[in-house]
Amino acid sequence: MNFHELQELIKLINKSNLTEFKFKDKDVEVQIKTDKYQKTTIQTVAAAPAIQMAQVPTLQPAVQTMERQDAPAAQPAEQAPKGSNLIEIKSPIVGTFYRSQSPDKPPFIKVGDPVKQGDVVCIIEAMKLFNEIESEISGTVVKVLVEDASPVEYDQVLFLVEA
Amino acid sequence: MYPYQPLFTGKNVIFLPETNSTNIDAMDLLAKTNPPEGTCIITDFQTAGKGQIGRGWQSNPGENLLVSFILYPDIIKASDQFYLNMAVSLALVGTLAEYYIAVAIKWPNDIYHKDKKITGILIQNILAGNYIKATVIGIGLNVNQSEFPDNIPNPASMSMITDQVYDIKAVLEKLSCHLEYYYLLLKAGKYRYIKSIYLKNLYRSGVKALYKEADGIPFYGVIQGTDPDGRLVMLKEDGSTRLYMFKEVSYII
Repeated sequence: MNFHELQELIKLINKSNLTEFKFKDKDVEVQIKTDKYQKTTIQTVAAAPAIQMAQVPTLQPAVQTMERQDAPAAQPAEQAPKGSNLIEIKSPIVGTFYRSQSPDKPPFIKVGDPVKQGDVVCIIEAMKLFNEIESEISGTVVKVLVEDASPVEYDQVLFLVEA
Repeated sequence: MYPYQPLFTGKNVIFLPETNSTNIDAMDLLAKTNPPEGTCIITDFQTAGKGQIGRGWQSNPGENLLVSFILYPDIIKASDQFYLNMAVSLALVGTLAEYYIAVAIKWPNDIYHKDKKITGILIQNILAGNYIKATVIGIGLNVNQSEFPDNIPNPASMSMITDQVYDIKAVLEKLSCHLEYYYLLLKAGKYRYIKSIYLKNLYRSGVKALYKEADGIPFYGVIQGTDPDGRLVMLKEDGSTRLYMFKEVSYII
């Protein structure tokens, strides 16, 4: 199958109502899952993490409900002090944490600042990919846990926000 | 007209005769409006081309392809983002192959012809939760430029390699096709396939060569590939294997 044929195939599948498509011959194997497939998958797997969600409703950012099949099961937010309404903003990737757009610019957020859902809170650079991290929650920044320009791990807590 | 037509990539073209940086423009556009997927911003001249921090991109007016594409890879997990680097790099390998220019990908995403750099790529993502909400893929491909300032190490252009002059619009069309092809493969979850061709095209892969770490002392190593986070896997002479983040190792060329 050449580039053009594959492109035609994708076009056809996009127009169709298919959720999943597999094709195999002696030298090529193609498997396509469409948006529709993704949507149905999310709905069915979201049910399991939702049970844990109910136990720690104030601590979990909204994103946890979006966890998919291939992601680790939602973990209860153990690090946050019990009984408070602190929400953690965690790093979704391994990389280097930057608090501002460039060294001569002020930080995106500081302690005491209000933060809204959709605001950029930091940049994490990973293997030359620059990621602007958007807040999923609204509240007030109470703690910045990572120094500017230092390495961060997957799931490391970056900020604490009081909702 | 190029025989293959992309479905959406490069269909909506915004041309600016001169600008600071097409990546900055694309990020602004994303912040203010909702541009259709595949929108690209091209310019003849960048006054503040974004390279790595502290490194500008030198380009003579109208001689090179300077473009930023906007895509919404929102089903790709943030932790899988290195595949974006792979897809974009492979799109350039494919585009240049159409001009009979053989290149390799210098980890993580520089495009090299022999030991010379022909393309710079800068990708900026917007992450919402664990997924990539939007991405701006900035590409600077040296097309017709024949002279470069002395402070640019190892530059090359398509024209310098083949001694021909190219139509930049035609190069953009081909690049749009190849980018869309790899992008759709990525969206279809073909990660293993993409990684296998990325590794096949990786510069110095499996070859003993000289490198240095922060201490500046040269050492011999053999590149083994990349780990799932995109770190470079290097087998060192003493038999140990090390994982490098970007900038933790440099190539002695």
